[in-house]
Amino acid sequence: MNLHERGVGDGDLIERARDGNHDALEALYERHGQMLFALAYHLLCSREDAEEVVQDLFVGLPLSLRRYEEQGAFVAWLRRIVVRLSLDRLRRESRRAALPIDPAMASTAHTLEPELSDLRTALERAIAVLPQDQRTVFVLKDVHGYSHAEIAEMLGIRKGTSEVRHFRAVRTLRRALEEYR
Amino acid sequence: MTIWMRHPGEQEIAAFADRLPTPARIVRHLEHCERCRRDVAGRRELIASARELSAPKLDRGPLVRALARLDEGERLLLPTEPSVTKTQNAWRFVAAAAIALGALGTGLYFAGGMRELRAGTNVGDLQMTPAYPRRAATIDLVYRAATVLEKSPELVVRAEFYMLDGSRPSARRVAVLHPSRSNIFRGTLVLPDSAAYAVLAVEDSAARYVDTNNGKFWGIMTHDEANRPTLPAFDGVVTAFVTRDQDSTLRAARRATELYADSLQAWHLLGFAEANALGEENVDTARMRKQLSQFGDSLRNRPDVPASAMTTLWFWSSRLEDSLRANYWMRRLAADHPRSRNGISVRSSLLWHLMKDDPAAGRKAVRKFWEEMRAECARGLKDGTYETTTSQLDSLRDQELIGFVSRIALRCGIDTMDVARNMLRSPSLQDEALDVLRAKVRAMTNEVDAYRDLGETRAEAERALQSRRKFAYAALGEALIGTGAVNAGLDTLELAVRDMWNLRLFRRVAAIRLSATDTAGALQLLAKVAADPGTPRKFVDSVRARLNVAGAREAEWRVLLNQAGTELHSTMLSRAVTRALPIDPRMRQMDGREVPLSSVTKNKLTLIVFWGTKCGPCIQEQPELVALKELLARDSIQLVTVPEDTRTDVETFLRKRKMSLPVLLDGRREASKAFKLPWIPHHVLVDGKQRIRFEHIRLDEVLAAAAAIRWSDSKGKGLASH
Repeated sequence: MNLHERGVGDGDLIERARDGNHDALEALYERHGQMLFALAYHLLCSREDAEEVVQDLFVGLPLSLRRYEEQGAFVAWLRRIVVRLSLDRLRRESRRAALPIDPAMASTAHTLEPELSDLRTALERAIAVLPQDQRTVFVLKDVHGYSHAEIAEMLGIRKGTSEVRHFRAVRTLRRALEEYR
Repeated sequence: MTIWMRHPGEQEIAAFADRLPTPARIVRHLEHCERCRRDVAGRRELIASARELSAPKLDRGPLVRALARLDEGERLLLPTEPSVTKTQNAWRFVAAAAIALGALGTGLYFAGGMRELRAGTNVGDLQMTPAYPRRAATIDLVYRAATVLEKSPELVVRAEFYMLDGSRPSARRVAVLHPSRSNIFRGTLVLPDSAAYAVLAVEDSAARYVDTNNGKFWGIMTHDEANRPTLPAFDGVVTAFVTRDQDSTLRAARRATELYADSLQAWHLLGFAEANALGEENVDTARMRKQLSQFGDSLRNRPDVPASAMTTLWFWSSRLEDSLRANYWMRRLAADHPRSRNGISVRSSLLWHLMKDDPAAGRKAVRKFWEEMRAECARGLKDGTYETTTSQLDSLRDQELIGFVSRIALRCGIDTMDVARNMLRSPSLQDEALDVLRAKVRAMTNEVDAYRDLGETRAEAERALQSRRKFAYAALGEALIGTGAVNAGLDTLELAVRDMWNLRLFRRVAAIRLSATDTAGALQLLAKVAADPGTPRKFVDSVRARLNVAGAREAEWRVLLNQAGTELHSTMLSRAVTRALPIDPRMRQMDGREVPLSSVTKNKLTLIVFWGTKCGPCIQEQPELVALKELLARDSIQLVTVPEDTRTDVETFLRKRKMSLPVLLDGRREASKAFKLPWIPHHVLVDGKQRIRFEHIRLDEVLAAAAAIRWSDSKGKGLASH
């Protein structure tokens, strides 16, 4: 059976990936890799770090899938792990705290695609220089569509705290974008 | 109108911009307010742009690298559980604490963070879920084996539990780990209901190798509903690591005061950890006094003060020499919590005073107290309780009562060796004592694991047990001869003195052999005593005179002495180590100057004695130490003593006793750490190259050990020169 066919459900792939089947892992990568990478990339503002998160995720999948009890959507489960891996990386390295505030440097901190609109370029720069806790909430909420309740659970904070961080992020971003205009 | 004119709050605007249900008041306001409408539009534009944010295209690189890592056998456990859930957020910082402590090596949980399972040659990696276990939780264990363990068909996890009542049963097997795939072992363990904290080690089923995580072990703290580590769990960490890793105790105690600032127990842990990790002089006594008066005064009038708080108040009051408060809390502990662990111990010491003041009333009270213990003896009865009672009874020579108390103590699990020795003193109890001793020797031979500490291999436990067994044999042999079974007694004594070097035992057994008219056997042992460099010439002469060693016997004596010399070297060297100190500890001399230890020990064989002015056994051995000083000097062995106390305390202590000892202060506790000080008194022989050569030696073995080191070093040189 060709595992890359669309007809093969995640369930079959999970079964095989549990045993470390390379084809199954590859199929999962092709199916969900880009979306998971984007999530890590927005949280970490670094292509290299985001790639490492995806890499770690796939190294850990066979062992960790044994704990996956298929009670929730598989994709949501993967996304949550990517968020945790990314936050863990941020915490471990505290790299973002020392991120330069200079927008020129911020733009070199991550890859910008030439076809991005100017507004999006400016937004991306502004996000990169947000304080880490605000950036995390903003990215999860507005870029990836999580609710405050979900964010609170993932980050282990109160819903109110998530909301406050979000207000602050939005306020900062809007100021930054007004300056841009 | 006024309502409309008041601008909605940022939160309300954000909710509207998010298209969430919005109160009519806000909607009406927005209809009339241009500024707020711009605000909403700006937010929506921002959100729309954010949703369109893209990311670079992902190539196959990460997948290829991930598959290669999997092929190399790497296994990662992903953070599949939330680091902290919503209801736990009040204690989010606990997670950080757990991580900090975990990094410290106490092996606390890694709260949600991902960690690679990586194993080395001697140290594996153990991961435990859930991250916040409650009491009686079932814990999943995943162990990536140390190289030395990876070929084992199965592995065993042993644990030392720290119970809620403060007791600490000996280490036992709690889980079996089965291999799941390439080097990963899995299993589960169930925490006992009343355990607050557990320390784990992993070993092969024959206990040939034990993975202690480099002496840091792995710990499981129980957590409360808010996912905070419980206070008894912190107590467990402090107790467990006070002889193992004092930095861990200090950090755990600090964390406890942060989480439980309103608990006296937490402050007690901090004071206790500070005293052990930083030195007595670095305990913040002003803070402890403040806490004591603050807590003590507020608790004094309350009827429901817990036993742990009373114990703490008593402990610190007496430590800070506030005898009024100490006395008050000691008596309240005995009255309010008579059956708590410390309540029992306090009551037994109060009995001791009563027996001294009024023997008749004391005897009656002792009987009543021990009858109560018999009824529920398992509850926290400590060895000290038995000793306190019997030491007083002994002076009263009340054999009947000693028998009564001893039998209950045996039933209650008090160390049988002490009880048996005690019973042997009473002729009417000797037969019973013999049975106890036989059972003890049997247990020490057949149930090594029951005596094996966490982290000890079976061989190490055997060695440690050997000397305890020898004393049991000696006591048994002596008792057998006492009851008329002379031959059986002599045979048992033979077992006692074989393969060990213990002058005290040699002399004792020689005296017993002489009284049983086994002169040849006695001579053999006395030759060993004479061959020991610590034995005074006078003693040797008196032996020779008494046993009439002259003429034909002279040759026999020489042969015996030669044999004894060889035996001394081989027996002592079998216990020797050669281990460099990890650091050169900075010490302070009594004049206040700071010196590295190496500057004192360089090129000299040095006996280092760790002691304390408040440590009973240390004080007891001091006359022996003072007597040894001359002999050490004669054999060019330097003596250094390292007290745990402050300079003022040491000065006062030595002045009061009119003693002089060479002292180096260990204010920073660097020496304690470098020598992994397990307890005091502790004696170590260090050579001129800063290497530990002997540890855990008794003072009467020091000269023999030094002779063995010199003999072995000279032999080494001799061999090297060939």
